Amino acid sequence: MRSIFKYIISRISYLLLLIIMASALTPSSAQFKSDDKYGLRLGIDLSRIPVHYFNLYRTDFEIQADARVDSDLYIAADAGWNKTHLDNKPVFEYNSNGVYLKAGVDYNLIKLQFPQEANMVYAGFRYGIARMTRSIPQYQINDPYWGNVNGSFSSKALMPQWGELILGMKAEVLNNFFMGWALHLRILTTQNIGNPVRPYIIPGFGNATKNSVFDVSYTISYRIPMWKPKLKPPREKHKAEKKTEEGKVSNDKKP
Amino acid sequence: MREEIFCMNRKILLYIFCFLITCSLFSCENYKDCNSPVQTSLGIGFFQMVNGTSRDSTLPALTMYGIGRADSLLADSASYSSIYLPLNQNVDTTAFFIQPNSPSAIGDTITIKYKRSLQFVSSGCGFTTFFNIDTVYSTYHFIDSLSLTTKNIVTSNAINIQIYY
Repeated sequence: MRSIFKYIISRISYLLLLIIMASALTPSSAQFKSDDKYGLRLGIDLSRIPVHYFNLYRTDFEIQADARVDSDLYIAADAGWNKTHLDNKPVFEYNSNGVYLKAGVDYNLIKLQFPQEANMVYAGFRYGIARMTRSIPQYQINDPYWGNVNGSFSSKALMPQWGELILGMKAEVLNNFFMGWALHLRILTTQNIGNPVRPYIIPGFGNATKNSVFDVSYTISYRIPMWKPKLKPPREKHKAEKKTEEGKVSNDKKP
Repeated sequence: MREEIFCMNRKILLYIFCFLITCSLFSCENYKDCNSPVQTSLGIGFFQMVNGTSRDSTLPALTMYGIGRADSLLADSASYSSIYLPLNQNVDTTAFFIQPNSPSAIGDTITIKYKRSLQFVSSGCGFTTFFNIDTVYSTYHFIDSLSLTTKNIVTSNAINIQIYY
């Protein structure tokens, strides 16, 4: 019964998130003049803090970087670290830690209000590789009749890989300062990893007891203005609108 | 300008609200719960041949223990049509002594040789041992014959050995 409630509540939260996302998408005006500069956007995933708070056995950290290469296209990379310690003594004890790197692209789905607008609702793809070690310092099989079985597995290095689909948004809330969140669907490509004991948490992937996981991230990021790209006007329509606006301005000024 | 600032603050509040909702999506995973079966026991079923056909049968007043653990009975003068016994997970051979408590019956010793494989269940349940039975030996006092029906012992409670008496 409790799990049903939990399920319903989580579904409602997703729905709320979608509604808020939609409302936040109302186009912001061109109030930021620095938008004619582009650069490397560096961010940190804040959602890893509540993940740690709710699941004290895991600690994650992620930084994100992206850069605009075309009016709608961004190249992106995320890197991070995870440490997991499961303490279910005497039955099972597990340690793992590792780093990961994800690389891919984000594609902006919304029509730009002005050529250099940086707000985005995007669909993205990443390919992720983690380098981790896991060890089982001790385990015990309970057998009251013949006697318990005790054992351990020494440290083993693993390299899990996965593909990731992202749907998310980023909005410039202050000059060069962005907030955004995203939904992630990750599918493990190295599915038979770490026999006989599969890693419990794969860095950057999450809970690896299943081959695919769903995750939410919440990012704050800062764009370091470094260069001005040669952007093509994103849509023909914008070009036309701009021209007419300019025309109006010049007409107003003349008399 | 004032409107702009107000708008900006509202926007930031909206994103903080977003963050709080995001937080609510993460729930606790209790990795210590064990919800899967972990017991891997040898299942023995008792049968009688009646007019050339085998029939399920209850063996009355059975006494049973593992060889080497005579002090600890697995069945103490109880009736069973089938019984599940723990195999020794530290070695590759386990023997059991079975005796029906009737004045005329003499007990029998069944010896099971098997291969073990360590199996990971979950972080809550830990490991279990799966068995693959190689051979079964027995003395034949009250036992008439026996047959090995299922070689693999996993967490399903299957009957592995049929004993005819």
